[in-house]
Amino acid sequence: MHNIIAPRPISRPSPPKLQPTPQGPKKFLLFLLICGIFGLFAYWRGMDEVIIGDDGALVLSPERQDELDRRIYRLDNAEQYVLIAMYDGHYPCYNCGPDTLKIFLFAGETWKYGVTIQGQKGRYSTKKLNGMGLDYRVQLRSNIHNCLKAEAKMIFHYPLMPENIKRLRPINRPPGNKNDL
Amino acid sequence: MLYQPFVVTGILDEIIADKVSYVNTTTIANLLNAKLQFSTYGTGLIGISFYFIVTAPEDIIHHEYTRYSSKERELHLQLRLPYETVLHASREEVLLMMVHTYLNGLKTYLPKKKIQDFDTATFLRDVERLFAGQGWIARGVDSTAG
Repeated sequence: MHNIIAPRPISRPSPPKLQPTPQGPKKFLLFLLICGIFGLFAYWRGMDEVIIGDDGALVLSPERQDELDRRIYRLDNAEQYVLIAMYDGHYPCYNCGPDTLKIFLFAGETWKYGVTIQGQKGRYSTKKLNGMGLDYRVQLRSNIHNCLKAEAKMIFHYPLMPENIKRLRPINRPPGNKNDL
Repeated sequence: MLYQPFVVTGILDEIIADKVSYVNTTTIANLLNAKLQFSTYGTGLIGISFYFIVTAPEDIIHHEYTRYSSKERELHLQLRLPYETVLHASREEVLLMMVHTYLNGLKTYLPKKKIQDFDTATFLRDVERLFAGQGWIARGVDSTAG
């Protein structure tokens, strides 16, 4: 019979105790504070936009729903327009080459095509048009999708217009359209 | 800044645009620019821009407004002509509508702005006489367009 010698316990060196760093708790507290601020902000913002409906589900607040409805209404009632030269003279040209800042237009010729919706910022205001001698003519009144398509067609077909073909140096898009968009 | 002292132009549906602009608008503007000088009446006003809005009833984007900028010394008016009336009128008839709306617009809104150092009454009288001299309005008659 063999004596089973109990294995001698192996003494392992004890792992070094981690000393808490002085900065650790402060960083963690800062992290909690930032999370709390974001959380409060999200909660506050969410309170403006989301409410609990009659069935207990989350729904848009009436104010937010009104905003959405107004936005969709404006997008459904867009217009595509053209700006026409009011007099024979020189107008800014963004497509005449780096050395040519202006182009001569006869009264009635096209300067720019665009699309706008009610309240849109950045569209040509009459104040701006006043200084340029331009007429604003609505060519299409429809939803934003159709208006953007119409605008694209007008811009892309501009090189084919008689007023452009007759020029010594035809341009590839209307003088006032900086790009194809 | 206006490109000339009297600017007359439009925000127009294309179907009726040629009845308003640019023949009629330039006719009115050229007459005013040739015959009147703002300096005659003072220094408080150096330019007037007038936009005729002639758009279909479903237009929700363009609205009437009036604004005087004391910094730029310019008056901006944007007033509507009745779309259906313009649609069925000749260019000559539309010109008379435009003249009446222009004159009545000035008479209505210019005094309200209480522009300093500008003889508004004399200016309005001269505009009216100018239009009457062209046979566009009867002198001394307060006509309304449409």
